[in-house]
Amino acid sequence: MQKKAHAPMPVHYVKECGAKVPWTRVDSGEMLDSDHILKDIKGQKMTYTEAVRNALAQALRLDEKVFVMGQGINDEVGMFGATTGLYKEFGEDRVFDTPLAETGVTGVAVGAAMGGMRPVYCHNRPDFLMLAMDQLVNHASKYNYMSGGICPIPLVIWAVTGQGWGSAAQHSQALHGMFMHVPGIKIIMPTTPYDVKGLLLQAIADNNPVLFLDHRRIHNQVGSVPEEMYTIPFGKGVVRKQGKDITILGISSMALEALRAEEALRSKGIDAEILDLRTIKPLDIEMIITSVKKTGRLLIADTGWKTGGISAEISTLVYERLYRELKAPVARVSLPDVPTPAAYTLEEAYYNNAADIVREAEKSMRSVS
Amino acid sequence: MENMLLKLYYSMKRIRMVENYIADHYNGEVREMRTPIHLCDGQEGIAAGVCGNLHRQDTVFGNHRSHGHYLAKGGDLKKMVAELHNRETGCCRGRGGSMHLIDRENGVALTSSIVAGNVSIAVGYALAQKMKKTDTISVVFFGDGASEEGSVYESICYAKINRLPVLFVCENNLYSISTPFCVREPNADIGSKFETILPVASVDGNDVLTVYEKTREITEHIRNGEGPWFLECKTYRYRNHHNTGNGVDNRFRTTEELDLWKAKCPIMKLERKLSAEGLLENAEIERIEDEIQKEIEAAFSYAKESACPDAGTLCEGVWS
Repeated sequence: MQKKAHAPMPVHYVKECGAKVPWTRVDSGEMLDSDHILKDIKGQKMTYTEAVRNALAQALRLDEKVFVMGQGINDEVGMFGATTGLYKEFGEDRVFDTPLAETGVTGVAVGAAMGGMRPVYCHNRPDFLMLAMDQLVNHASKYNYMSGGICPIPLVIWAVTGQGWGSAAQHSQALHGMFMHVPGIKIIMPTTPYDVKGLLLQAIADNNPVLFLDHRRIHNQVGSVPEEMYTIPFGKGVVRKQGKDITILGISSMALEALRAEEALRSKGIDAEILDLRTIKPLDIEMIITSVKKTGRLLIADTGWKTGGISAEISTLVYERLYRELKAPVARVSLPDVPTPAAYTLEEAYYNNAADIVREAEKSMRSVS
Repeated sequence: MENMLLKLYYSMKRIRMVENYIADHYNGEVREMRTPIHLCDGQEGIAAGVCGNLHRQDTVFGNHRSHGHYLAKGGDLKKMVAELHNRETGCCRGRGGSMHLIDRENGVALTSSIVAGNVSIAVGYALAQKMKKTDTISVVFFGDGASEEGSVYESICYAKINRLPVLFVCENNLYSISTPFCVREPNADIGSKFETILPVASVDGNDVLTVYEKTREITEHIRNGEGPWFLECKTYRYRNHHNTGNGVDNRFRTTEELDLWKAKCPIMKLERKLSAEGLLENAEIERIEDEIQKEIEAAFSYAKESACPDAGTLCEGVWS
């Protein structure tokens, strides 16, 4: 009975569109076009958050089990513009506002998923997910395993990491490393309009809890997004730019900083290969290994803290397999073990950007094994 | 009604005998049930009385002490006993243990040992049923301890404002493990904490007929789309929070208190009523006990003859 409720989406829903993804240029804060290099993605030009809205609308239209919930999503501007007006088309039974009550409401989402629906629960910031940790860590991530495989929780939780403008310690945490520690939760961190549509549709179609963690700094991009529904498989990163000297692996907004760094490095004669991880659980370790085998050097640029985070995990995975092939120690550009400060002078010292990646990449290039 | 009284009696008796059988075999020389058990004897009137009003398609949500909820709702005894024995044939294929029971076909959602978490999940399940336009209801059992959690308040508010078909059943057995209410909260009257939000009823959980009749009235309201209800059932567990002792070796529970509650045994109470009304003869009681005993022994044999999960299957089921 329940199995039927979780039947796979129609075939066209899980079709990957195009072999490549747009190469997105970004200069944080400004709206930039992602189409000037890659020409083979045809579609309407839209911003990142419009692509999120496009995916949500299509999922709502396709499958009546899908619904979207969150505090303030039916506000005039919607959640970052990504939910604007959805309730007008789909009704307030399927697109609805929620109280804060993050623990209880996350449980409501988990229970609805258990009952055969496919909720998408939106939060402004991952910091609020700390109030929902019981449901995420003790319940949603455990039920399928604990039931011997008969209690799937097809749930998507979206939260947007903040940065800058004095957002400070409780409104700018990048917590993916912490969630990555827990078995049973998938985590996606898309960076382009094309990727976010494909990955979000895959997340909604997936039968497991999926955390969709993106970053406020990538919301301003524009790019071509196909009108048809398509999905991008989890566990598949993407090589944004081929290179031979050093692998730079970017996560979330740092993948965009890595692209900026690449240009600067090229002018210094360093040919960097740029990887965008896109999903961090499952992790595309094969893409990383293949690249590092070629370059012999790895720099991980993360939006999260260094201590016990994803950069530590990936470093270890690489050392376990390529210890003798590395020409330099794995370099990490990540946050210091400090809560996010508010003052902009401190923010500047706290956050990393393309210049930090360039500096660390050059340092790595100077290492000789 | 006569038939219903006998059904309630049978349901309670079966739970009691299962719990006693588990207790008798839990601490033997060969400890085959390697899972923390939380027995519910003394509280059978609530599971039987509430579930006696539910349809197969209705769903119950339980906690760490849910053998009774599972059985009263129609969960498969053999699969439960196999789960307690860590067997592949268990209701959770040996992945859940005593505190995590499931029988989706019979409307037992996965029970949770993180108490209160199941309360909001039951509300979400009811939301899904409402969206799918089914006429089923969700019932969640939780204890006085769980009622202290903030998410219970959140869940109750959410259910009420959305008029969801949920029955909140608080089994107030006076102790959170061994800590009495008086040192936990300023207001020991649980129902009064919620009565400004939704309709609350408070009943003697050791009187199965009262529980049954009150639940019948409440579930009619809920099925009519009138929104959620809160039912507090006052009761007492005969044993320790965990394991098989009688729980009087702690600081607050006393032998006198236990004896007082044992005199209010829900099964004895109904048995006396049925006997007095000539509805239950001693011979019939013996026949019922014999029948249940055979069912339990068959379930234990089934469990013991089943294989434990193969180590090679360790990673199965993390993802759906």
